[in-house]
Amino acid sequence: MCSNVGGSKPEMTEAEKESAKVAVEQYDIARDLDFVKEAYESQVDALGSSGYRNYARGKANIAGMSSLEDAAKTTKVRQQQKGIDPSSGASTSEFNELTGTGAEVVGRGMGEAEFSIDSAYLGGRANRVAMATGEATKAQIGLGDIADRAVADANQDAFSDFNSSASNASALGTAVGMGASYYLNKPEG
Amino acid sequence: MGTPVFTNPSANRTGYQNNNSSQSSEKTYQSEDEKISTNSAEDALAQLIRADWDNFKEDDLEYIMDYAKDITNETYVDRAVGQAKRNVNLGANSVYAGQKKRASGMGVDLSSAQINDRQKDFKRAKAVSLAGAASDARDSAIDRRNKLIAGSNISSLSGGGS
Repeated sequence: MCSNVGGSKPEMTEAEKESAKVAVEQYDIARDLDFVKEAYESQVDALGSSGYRNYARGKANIAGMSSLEDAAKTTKVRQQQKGIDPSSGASTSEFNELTGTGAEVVGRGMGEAEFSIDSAYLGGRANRVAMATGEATKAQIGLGDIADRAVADANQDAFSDFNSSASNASALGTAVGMGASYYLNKPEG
Repeated sequence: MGTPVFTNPSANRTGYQNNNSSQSSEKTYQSEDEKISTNSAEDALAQLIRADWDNFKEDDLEYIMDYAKDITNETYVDRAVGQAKRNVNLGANSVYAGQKKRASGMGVDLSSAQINDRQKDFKRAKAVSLAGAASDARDSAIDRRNKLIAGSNISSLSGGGS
């Protein structure tokens, strides 16, 4: 196949020529798929918006406050059953403890929710960078899958972190339980 | 764009020669954006490498540089600390307000000394909470930043062309 006569440049084989043709087609397809990269980028940008963070923080706030209210109701009923005066030291101390724990849980829950969204945003940007620094032409052919998976991962990470921090609200139950057993078993002074 | 390569009639089976002989402006190897436009396979590959790299510089480089800057400076560390403090404040204030309302609903009648004591307790608890949350947020943000730096592909800034 080679016609390298008299030191002239070797001619490309048919396979090489066909490869070049395919490479140009791949290049065209990659350009056609650039919009997927852009779509992914705008999804990532949305994760970085204050709207998304506020939403997550709001969710954490509602979850924390609702757990706190449940714990307060339980405590109130328990105190009533024991005949504890709501103005007594035993009652107010228990509620103070509940409030302290609740403030910590609610505040931290909201902070962690925002932090998780920021982490997902930064992770998404890292993925976008990986798309750019990968094998540009070939990688972009499969970008649809990559983008879908990356977005799903980002959301999954954000919300599983968020849910685990929201589940910190269970700490309320522990604190109240400990406080309640201490005060309720204490002889009335 | 150089001498047509497919002048040998034996190359005719690919059909490429027809394009060359018809003197059409359409080249054998031509991309839709015309960044690749040649009759030579070798030139086509060279142009493809250049086009990939140019696209990378045009579409991606600025994004990568912004990202690199954001994950290596203090932006997201400071932001995490600020978020933690603001949220502990907000959380504490709304919970304390809720407790006041609840106590009044339960008919709790505290003396001014008790109220003062409680407020002092809350202030102290909030200060401890703020310090703890800020410190944890800073640690977590630094940890996150280190992971992003280690896991990012900045060092392999190879761009297009494989």
